[in-house]
Amino acid sequence: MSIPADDPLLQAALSGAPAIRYTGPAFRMMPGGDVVRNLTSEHLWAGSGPGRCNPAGIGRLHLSAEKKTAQAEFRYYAAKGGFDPDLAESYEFAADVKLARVLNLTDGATRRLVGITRAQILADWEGDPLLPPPLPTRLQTIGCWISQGHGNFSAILYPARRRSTGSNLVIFKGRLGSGDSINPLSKHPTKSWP
Amino acid sequence: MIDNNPPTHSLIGMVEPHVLIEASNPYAADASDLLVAAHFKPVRQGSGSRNVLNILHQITESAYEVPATGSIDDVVRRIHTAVEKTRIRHRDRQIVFCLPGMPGKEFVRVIAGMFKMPGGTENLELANTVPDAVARIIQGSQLRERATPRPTLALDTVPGMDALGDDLRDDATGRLNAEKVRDLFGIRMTAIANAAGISKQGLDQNPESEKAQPVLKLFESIARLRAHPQFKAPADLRKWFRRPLPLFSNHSAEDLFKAGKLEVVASKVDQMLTGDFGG
Repeated sequence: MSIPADDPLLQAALSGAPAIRYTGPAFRMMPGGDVVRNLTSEHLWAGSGPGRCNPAGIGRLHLSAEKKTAQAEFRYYAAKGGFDPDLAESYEFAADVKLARVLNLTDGATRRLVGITRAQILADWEGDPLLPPPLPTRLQTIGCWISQGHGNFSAILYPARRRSTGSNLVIFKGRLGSGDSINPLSKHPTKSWP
Repeated sequence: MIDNNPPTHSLIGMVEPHVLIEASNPYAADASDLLVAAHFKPVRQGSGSRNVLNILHQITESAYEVPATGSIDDVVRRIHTAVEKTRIRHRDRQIVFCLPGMPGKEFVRVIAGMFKMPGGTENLELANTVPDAVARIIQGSQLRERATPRPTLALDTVPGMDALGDDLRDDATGRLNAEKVRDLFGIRMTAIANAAGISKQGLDQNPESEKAQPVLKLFESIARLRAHPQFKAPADLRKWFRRPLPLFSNHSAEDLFKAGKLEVVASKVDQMLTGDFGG
């Protein structure tokens, strides 16, 4: 996956798109084991692999807006990766999030403004690793430009694929402003109980 | 031939290499042809060209005309001024300056004179022919691409992770050992040697070869799966390594290793263990 080609129209649309405030909790679930005991919230910022909203190489933090959505994400990806989700104990990372400027793609009018449909957001984004890398999706393109400052957003709120009524939040590392905060509710992830 | 819609280059090496040409014809046309021949994409000044990383800039001919008196000092000063102005206009860009047609003797005198100027000549790329300027751009771009960091693994930043791979390291040297990796993953030394770009014989003789360390490091990252109770036993890790998984579009991790894509496996394992599913 590569960085998208320049798109002045999309960049202009992002500059004119409305921002919402995000104030509330956000969640992430992860498998248990020896790793999770050493993890702190800071470590979750360190990855830069590709995601639904970003090409590889962009520092970002993926969270879910609801605990149930985080659980749905965990169960889906654990199974996809060869874990037995029924046997894989899960741990939870929860944070109190305050963000001043979020691009809200759960809103149809905002989606139309930046030229993306709900179906495009929910489409599969991972290509076959043995084939040439696919072009970035529309959502990854939007995330890429936001990570570079277009529209002055710090995050995207978008519909979750794994839970029809849920939303996910991707926060871009380099875009947090002085009024933004992500305060973990505990230093380490805590054991999660369904 | 020339594109007016170039991409952004904020992440060096991750995009198709575009080159902004600031030159007059016939030099601009020559540079364009050479860049296309090397699979680079020439672009002109335009709305999006401010984001192009590589620039070929021709210094105005009047700036490097050598006067009849033969004094080179004024020429050096004029070129120095032109270089500084262009660098201010294109901050943080890789610029190759070209003085096309300048005779060799004068050119080397200019080079010598430029490096006596106070500041501003650090990392100066100066050529007196278009092919040389284009070659410098290509070499610079390739060197930067080689130096581009891969996506970072979150677990590399977590204290105590090294201890998870202690059994794959030599007790005395602390280096990763190919025989131990072979035994854990149930793979052949030949496959590890191929992935490391060395001979099997060489790896047999020195299983802690420096050249093999990068590929062994990827295996060590994958072996972190053993931190999870479901893969604690080596047999379970081996089974996982060979099993086609939706995570890899129904290929196995071993398929990816054989295809030279072991870093994809390491990255996915890292994301799995930290719950970084990507949404």
